[in-house]
Amino acid sequence: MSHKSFDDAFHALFAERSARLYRYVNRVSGDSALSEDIVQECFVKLHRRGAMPDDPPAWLMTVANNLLRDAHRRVVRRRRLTLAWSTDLPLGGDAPRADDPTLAAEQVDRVRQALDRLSLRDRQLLLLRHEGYRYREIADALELTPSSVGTMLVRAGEAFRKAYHGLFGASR
Amino acid sequence: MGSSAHPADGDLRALLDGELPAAQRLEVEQHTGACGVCRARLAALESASQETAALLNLLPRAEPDLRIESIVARARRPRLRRWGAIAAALALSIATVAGATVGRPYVRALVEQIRAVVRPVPAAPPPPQTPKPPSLGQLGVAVVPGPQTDISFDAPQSAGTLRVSLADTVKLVIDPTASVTYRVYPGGVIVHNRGSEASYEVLVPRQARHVRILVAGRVLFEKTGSSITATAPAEPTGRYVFELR
Repeated sequence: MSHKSFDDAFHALFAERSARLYRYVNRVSGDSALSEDIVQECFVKLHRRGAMPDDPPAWLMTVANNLLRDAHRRVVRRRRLTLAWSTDLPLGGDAPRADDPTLAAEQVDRVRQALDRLSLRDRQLLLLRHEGYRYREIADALELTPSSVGTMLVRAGEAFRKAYHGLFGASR
Repeated sequence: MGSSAHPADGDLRALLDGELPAAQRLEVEQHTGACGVCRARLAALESASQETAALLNLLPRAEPDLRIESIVARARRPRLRRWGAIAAALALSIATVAGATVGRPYVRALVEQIRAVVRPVPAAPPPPQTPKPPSLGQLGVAVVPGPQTDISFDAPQSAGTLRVSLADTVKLVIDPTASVTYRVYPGGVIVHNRGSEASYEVLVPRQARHVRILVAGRVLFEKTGSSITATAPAEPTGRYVFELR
């Protein structure tokens, strides 16, 4: 692939995929600054690669998930460093504030809190599917077999709803 | 799945999502058409899936503030420094072993030369009787703040952000995305970040009396009691984000 055609493909991929990738990462992490860092890093790595992979969206998703996993490890390490959390810290550290003025913000907080109760894998599964990714793409990104995605989605969904209702009852 | 066996929940979910292979889809559809139990289960799974989607839809559809020009510029920046450091570190290990084993003057001189590249010696080294302060290339450091604590970054960076949050902790935590060297002293922590592109998460204990965060001597964040001044506004989450440039 020539430099020009790579640059064209890179620009097109950025225009087509960056916002969607960011939305996914942001929903998994709940941390907008971290999400921007991760999406930026994905595209920096792709540009340094100098050639398009066979399946660029899947490649981006795999890199993003690896970076999310690293970020998750850092949060776990940070918890160990401080030893004195009064509450669980959500991934990325956007702790909900009790004085949020609007109902919408409260609803977002509730969903975030329920998501933060899930394993990283369950969060990724639910949010990838919610973003419209196909089972094959989800399986590639999370190193699963496509035939197991349906079952894992059912379990992740149950865990999410159980966490949500456990925290807030039947209200939304 | 045999024709009489009930399909698994995962297969029913895949049917709802339009993700079952054609042959299997036909089989599952025939079964659910004839089996009231599975029709009820399918309806329950659909309802649960819709509830999950409705909750997830409450999350904001935030748009990133990313510029492709800065991404391309960052990607094109040479990475020789990192490889140079790795090569020098490798050479240092080999030469240190050789120096310890052979002990000849020219080997020791070589070790010192390489050491100067990997970890430059400060202009004014501390007196020998002073206990050596911690100075380690590491990920993350946590300290208990004193009456006044300064977190001083040596230099601005070409990339990277500094995110500062208050937390209900007893320790002040500095958590970078890449290894950097720190110097901890009674009045705070010096972060030797020259040449780094790391981002940093800093957690400041809510109870800390006086904490300042400085980059190249410029105060970005200052907490005195419960009062905070910062060069960037607080995000809705209460966190402060600073560019390290």
